Amino acid sequence: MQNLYKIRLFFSSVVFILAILGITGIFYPVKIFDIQFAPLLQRIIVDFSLVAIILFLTLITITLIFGRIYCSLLCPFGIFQEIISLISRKRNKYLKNIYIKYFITAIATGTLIGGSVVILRYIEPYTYFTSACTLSKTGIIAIVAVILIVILSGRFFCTNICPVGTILGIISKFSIFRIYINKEECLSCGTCERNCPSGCINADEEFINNENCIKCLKCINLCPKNAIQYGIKPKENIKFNLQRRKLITASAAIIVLAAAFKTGMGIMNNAAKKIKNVILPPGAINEQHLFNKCLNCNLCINACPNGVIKKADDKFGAIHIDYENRGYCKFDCIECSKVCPSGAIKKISLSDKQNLRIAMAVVDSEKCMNCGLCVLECPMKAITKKNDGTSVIDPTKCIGCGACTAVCNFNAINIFAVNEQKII
Amino acid sequence: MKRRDFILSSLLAVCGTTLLTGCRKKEIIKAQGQVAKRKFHNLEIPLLGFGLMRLPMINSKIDMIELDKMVEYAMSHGANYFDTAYMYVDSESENAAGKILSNYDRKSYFLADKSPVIHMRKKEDIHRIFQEQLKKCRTDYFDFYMVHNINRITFDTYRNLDMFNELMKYKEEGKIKYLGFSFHGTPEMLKEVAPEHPWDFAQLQINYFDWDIINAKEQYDIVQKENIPVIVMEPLRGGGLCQLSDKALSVINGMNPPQTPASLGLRWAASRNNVITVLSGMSNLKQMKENIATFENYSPVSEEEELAAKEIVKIIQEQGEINCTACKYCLEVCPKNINIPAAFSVYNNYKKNNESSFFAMYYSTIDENQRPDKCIKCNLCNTNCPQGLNIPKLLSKVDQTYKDILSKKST
Repeated sequence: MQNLYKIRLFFSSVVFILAILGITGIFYPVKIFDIQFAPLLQRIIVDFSLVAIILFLTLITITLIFGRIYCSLLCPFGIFQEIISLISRKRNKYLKNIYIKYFITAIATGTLIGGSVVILRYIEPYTYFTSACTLSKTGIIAIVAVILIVILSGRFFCTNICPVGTILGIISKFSIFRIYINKEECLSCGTCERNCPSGCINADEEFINNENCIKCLKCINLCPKNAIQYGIKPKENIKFNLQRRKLITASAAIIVLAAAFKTGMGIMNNAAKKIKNVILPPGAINEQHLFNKCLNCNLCINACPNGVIKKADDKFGAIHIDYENRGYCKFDCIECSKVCPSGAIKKISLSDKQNLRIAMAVVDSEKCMNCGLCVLECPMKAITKKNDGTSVIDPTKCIGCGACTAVCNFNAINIFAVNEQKII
Repeated sequence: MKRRDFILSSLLAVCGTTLLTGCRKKEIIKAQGQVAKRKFHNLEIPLLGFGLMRLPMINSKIDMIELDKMVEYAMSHGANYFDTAYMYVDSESENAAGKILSNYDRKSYFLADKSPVIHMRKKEDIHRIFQEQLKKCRTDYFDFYMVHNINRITFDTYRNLDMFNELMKYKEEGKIKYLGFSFHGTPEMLKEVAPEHPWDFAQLQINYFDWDIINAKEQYDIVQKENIPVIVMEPLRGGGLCQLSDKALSVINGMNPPQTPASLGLRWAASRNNVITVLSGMSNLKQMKENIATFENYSPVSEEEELAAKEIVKIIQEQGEINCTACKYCLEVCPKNINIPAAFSVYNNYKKNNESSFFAMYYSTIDENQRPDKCIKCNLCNTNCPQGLNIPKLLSKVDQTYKDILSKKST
């Protein structure tokens, strides 16, 4: 049994290293972010992709069988917290369930299903991890806060705030494999309770709360009597015991969920009503779609070979393209669409991308010196030189990649955002 | 009989009857007044055709109930010519036509559709879109089929893809009864297009405004020389000739028999001898009743009316309006979704009566994201404008007018 903990540690560190390499764009062959919970859910909502549904159901099934192992094995933010807790060895205590987490989850998932991710993306561990790695504001704030939380009370975030953890926790209540204390062997020494990061072991009453247990298997490793087991719990006569408080909480959470669903629809329709005139990566359709579906994980920013994708800023609340410093969108590249796990940037084929208008170039005839550099550079051959020497753009061919502005020495070509990306 | 059997059989019976009644075609009850007809080959074509481009709308969706009523009214009065196209009403017009017309016997109406040249990249596209159109219209043949909107942009595509001969294949199969083209180019181009192939008909923009001022007369003469019958589109310039200023209205006020701007325009167009039918894009039942009444007791325009039309043209020209017919082809391509037709119509209304306060009021009804000042001057709209307008230039004119009025107000 003790080996299980070491195996788990090994896999977790592999996942963590893969995640770090992936987010920095160094090495990303195993799409570790494609199997994260929130992006998967988002992808199902965005385009009902079959792959996402299968992966999502697999995650649910795994949780139903093994419990919340996702939190300790696949969630990079969870593994990060574990690393922090290695440094600060703090004694922990059993912690009762805090009901607020159900409402947080109801609000976040309700708005997500309603159509807008704007709330979820600020309390979601996957986004926290990736945006912290890319030094975004939210990520840094979150990481500082979570480090404090970890030092104070272990995995409090995972067990009592994180909406993903809450959903998985509810599922793992019914899991087949669970951690239990063999009451005949237990000495009630309290080693496990002191070391449990999620505060779910009550050593006095020899009881483990499997909803909050993240299956880190630490207790199994530490128990001097090997009294803690991971497996199918021997049957006990558990009375069906639905307390009134639980019932009220559950129904209130469902009401909140419904209200949040409605709010989410409202946000989706109104959030990007005022058009911000930002250029979006190919596949993002329009500002409203991207704003409501992007988790701001910044994965595409590191994937973009030309580095034209910029972080969310005051101008636009999700990632967007900025052609400053002679950047442009590479013609034969769909890295951002390949890498996006949430479907905010839809998967498009290369030939579609090459015919997808993401912006529009317009020559400022007063500034143009007729050097003809852009004519050579345009991948669509949309710019031609007229007989009198002036360059003209054929608007029916321009896809707004910005290659022409990148070479123009006179700032004579302006790139304007389009309201909706269209295949021409 | 067991109870279960009874329930099952009665359910089956209900299903059967509903299916049967659903399948039955609507009968056309002939009304007393019938619209005038013109002969075309061995067919009797109504002089008034129903253009399905400016359909009744509710919350930016087609109002099917109103459309159903309109089609029923038109059918019962013998106006059984329907003209749709791939691009009309955001590609929804064909669906609506198919849904409503499939209630009637296919032989009881004429359906015209068009092949969108602007969407063609290769030859397969022609066939793909044709099949799509048959499916959308729920029919297996088109009575009239056109190469849509030949103009200076589409001319090369139409020629390079050899669209006439591609579409002739369908004519030989009987999927197209008559093959023609709709045209928005210059007379010089028409001189090349018209004699090029044995066209059955041509669809031209003819109305008393375009006749002398633009080049409708020239186009009509070229086609007549080739002995190609004409179908008239935009007889009222997209409603522009219906909304006349008070000054222009005074010209037709005292006429005998009494005329409305619409009846004058339609009758004027129908009075050209070579015309088979005049298409009107009616958008509610009221307009339809008015237009059908015009053609129930149709008589060609008198000399007095011809002169009146010329007078109106003069007045409109003095007002300096924009020649937009609100066909909305520009909306299809505009990357900034600027509501070009709305902006132009607001401007034209202003030019009609010079009421600057109304201008500001109507202008403010246009969505802020869709106002002329959002124009980036990419000129994409110009490539799609059948009227050949320089839209970005005109938009900046409208924008300037708005700003002038605002600054005047504040001072």
